This record gives sequence, C-alpha cells and structure tokens, in this order.
Amino acid sequence: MPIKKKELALEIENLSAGYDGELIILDIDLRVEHGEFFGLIGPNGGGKSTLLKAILGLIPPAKGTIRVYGKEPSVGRRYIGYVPQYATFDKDFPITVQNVVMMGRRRHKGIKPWYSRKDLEVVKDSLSKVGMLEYMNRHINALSGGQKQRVFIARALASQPRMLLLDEPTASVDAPIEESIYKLLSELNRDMTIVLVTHDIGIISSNVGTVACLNRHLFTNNDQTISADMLEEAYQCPVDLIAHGVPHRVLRPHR
Amino acid sequence: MLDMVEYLDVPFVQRMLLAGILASLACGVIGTLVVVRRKVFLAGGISHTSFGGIGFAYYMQHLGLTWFDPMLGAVLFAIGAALLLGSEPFKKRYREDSTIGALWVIGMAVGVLLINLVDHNRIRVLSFEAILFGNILLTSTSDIIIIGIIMSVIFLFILLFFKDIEILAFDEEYAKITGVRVTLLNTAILILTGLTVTLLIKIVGVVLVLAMLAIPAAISNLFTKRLSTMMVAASVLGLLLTTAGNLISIELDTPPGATIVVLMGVAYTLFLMGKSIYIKILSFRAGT
Repeated sequence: MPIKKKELALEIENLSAGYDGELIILDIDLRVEHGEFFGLIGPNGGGKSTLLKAILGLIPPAKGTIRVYGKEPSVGRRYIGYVPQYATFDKDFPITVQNVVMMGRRRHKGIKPWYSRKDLEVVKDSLSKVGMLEYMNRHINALSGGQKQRVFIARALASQPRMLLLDEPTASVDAPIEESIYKLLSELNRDMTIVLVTHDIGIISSNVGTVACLNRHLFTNNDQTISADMLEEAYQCPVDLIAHGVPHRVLRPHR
Repeated sequence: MLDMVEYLDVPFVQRMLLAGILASLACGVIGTLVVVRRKVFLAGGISHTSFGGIGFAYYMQHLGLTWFDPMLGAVLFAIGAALLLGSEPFKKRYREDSTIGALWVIGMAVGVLLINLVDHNRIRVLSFEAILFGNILLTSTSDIIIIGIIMSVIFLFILLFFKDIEILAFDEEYAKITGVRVTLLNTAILILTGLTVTLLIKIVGVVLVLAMLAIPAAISNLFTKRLSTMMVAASVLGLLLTTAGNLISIELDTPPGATIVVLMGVAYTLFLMGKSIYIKILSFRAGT
C-alpha cells in the first residue's frame, strides 16, 4: 500500500492509564504519522507495556483518548501487526511455524472454521519476507531466538497491517542478529509504520526516525535525536550518551 | 478362563469397552487442551468438586426427588466449579492454586457429609470406593447414550472453533487483539472440561479422572508438533491404554479404573525415558 503522507497512524491525547485504579502512565500526548519509524525507550516499570496495552485496546484509558488510524483502539487494532516478546511463550506448546504465522490471518478468515488457500499464500509470502519460509514445518521451539523473532514478525505481517507494533524486538538476541532485525524492519518500513518499544537505549539504531522516552510521562524532542536532558528526565539520573559507530547519529555529540 | 473372543459376547464387557473407547476419545481432545494450557490441577479441582454434586444428588433423592440422578448432580457441580474458577476475580485477583485446592477439598467434604445424611436403607447409594475409583463394569446402556451425546457436542465444538482455540491456548493476548471472543471461548472450554470430567468419573472415578485427562495428552505432547496431531495421538493412546487396561482387569480380576491408570503410568514413564534417550542419541550424533 503506498504511503499517504500526513495520515496519522497514532494519535494519543492527554492519556492516563493503569491497572485497578493505579495510574502508571500520565498525560501522554503522542502523534505518529503513517510511514514513520518510531522508537519508544524507557526504563523497566516506566509504563511501556501499559502504553502498548492501551494502544491495543487491552486496557481502557483512565483519561484521554487514543486513536489508531482515526479509530478507537478496539477497532483500530485491526490495522496493527503486533509482535509481542516471544520469551513468554510455552516452549512445549505443540505448534509449527506455519500455524503460528497463520494466526495472523484470523481476522481475514472471520468465523469460518478453516483457512483458505489465499490465507496459506499470504502466510508463505510473509515467511519469505522475513527469510523463514524454509522453516515453515518446524516446531517453533526448534528455532533460535532471532529466528523466532522473525516468525513473530511474519505473523504480524500476515495480518497485512498498516503498522507494526513491536515490544522489545531485540531482547535476548545477540548483536549481529539485532542488526539483521533492524535491517528487516527498515525494509518493512517502506510499506508500513513501525513503532517499537525497548528498555535499552543503545538498541535504538540509526534506522529509527523519531524517538521518545517514557517514564510515566512522555519526553520527546520531536526529532530523531535523544538529548541528555530528555534521558535524564526519563531515567531520573544522568545518562552517558555513547553513540554507536553508525552513519547517522541518533545521539547528539557529548557535551 | 474365558477366551478373549468370548469376552466380547458378554453384554457388560461390550458396554465397558464401548464406554472406555468413547471416554478416551473425549479425554484425548479435552485432555490436550487441559495439558497445553497447564490446567491439570484445575481439572482435578473440578472432578473432586463434582463428588460434592454426587452427594448432593443422593441427598435430593433422600428428600424425595427420586429423579435426581447422581450424574446430574456431578454435572451441575462440575460446571459450577469450572465457571467459578474461570471467572474474572478467581483468575485475576486470587491465587489460582489456593482457590482450586480449597474447592477440591470442600467438594469432597460436602460429598461425604451429604452421603452420610442419606438413609441408606431407602436409597441405594454407590460405595465411596465406586465413586472415587470408578465402576466401569456398572456402565448401563443409557450411560453410553449420554456419553455419546456429550462426545458429539465436544467434537462438533472443537471442529468448528479449532483455530480460535489454538490461538487462545497459545497466546491469549494475541487472540483478543485478533478478534477471538476470548471470554466466551474460555467459558465454553471450561464447560466442556466440566462435562468431560463428569463423563469420565462414571468410568474411572473422581480420583482417576486426572490420569485419563492428563497422561495420554502428556505422552502425545512428547512427540507431536501440532495441536491437532496431539489431540488425535492422545485419543488413540487413551483408547489403546483404556481398552488394554479393561481387558487386563477382566483377565486378572483387578479393579478396572486402577488397572487403566497404572498402565497409563507405566506407559508415561516409558515414553519419558524413551524421549530422553532419543535426545541423548541426537546430541551424541550432533557432537560427533
């Protein structure tokens, strides 16, 4: 799908949310345009998961509004391809790579008991986009961490989303794999919005367009830089900014 | 000693084998869901709570409601327990193992108390032993018809909703995001689990139900990589082990429920050992 400029993928106004009356994130304002590559960083316990759950319509906002492509999260989430942290899955669950990715077709299948030939084609196509087609009939647990991550990205792609939403996509994979996943994401970014969330500042690579910090409140520069002030506010302590040797500096030169 | 073929002409043996076959198919399918969702203990709680239901049914008979079948009491209590344990506050706010444990023993105690209140001269009450450990030999034709109906409902449901059940069992959050009606489906699965447990109680009793539900599925989990294959494998294994157990019990004149469970236990141990040897061989080959 060609990317229309200036369409808002995500529009969050004055959002507060949490669990059982206890607010975890406060007064969040955020706008992500369609086609952006948006990185959200923040310490553990800073409310990243809460914000993700609110965007996906899994918890209701206590205050404020969320729009996903102009719609309520419970409706707008159909445009989101969600990639959760894979580490939480039961490794003994009997399921093949193909059946994991097929889950992405659930909404397209509707209430029919079986998937169609077209669903299978989309699944194969999604697997080949992430370079995992040859593993289609393997048990999911027979794969390495990076391979599993690719399979879960393929599952999200199979739903033919306008936006990929990834929760810690490079947690528990080593550096070369991490790089290859970022490369994949920036390729996918040509066709869709990418929003990713991570606790690791060093992980936000040169591919990411805009960055914001979340620690209960959202701190943003509205450009692709992370400033020391922003991090200090978010992490509540001075943070040393050490840029990776990348062609495009995310971090401003150290003052 | 009767010949194997002669056994098959005896009506109660036919009913016993048929009941075993039907029950093992049901427990292969539901047992698979119980095992992959780690709800074996919950299933145990449901089955022991239904002991209270059996006591309740006898007490109702004692009070004059002679139509109140023990199976009906078991079904009501089993489904009640399933819905209670699956409800929001029980899932989210309370410790699951504590509430299951409490319901487990309360169900048993209520059953014992109520059965004690019943006038045994007026109402024919099964022995505790028969309720706890099963009495497949006493399976009647109407029992088999009931079991057959429940089975058909279970199979139809699983067939229609298999893909949604797979997503739900693997990743409940993703199921919700992708449009599966999670609460409704969870409730339906719990009710079917309650029904299956009750049906198995008839054959192997309150205590041994767990073995029927968990062991064939747990064995199949060792060598299958698809949920559907695991269900088929668990059903076939359950069928073989139950039938073999029944025949051995006739041959050796041992209690059928206990014989089936011991046989299942032996099979599980062998499969676990086999699997670890298989893995050792694989890693040995990979190492050389």
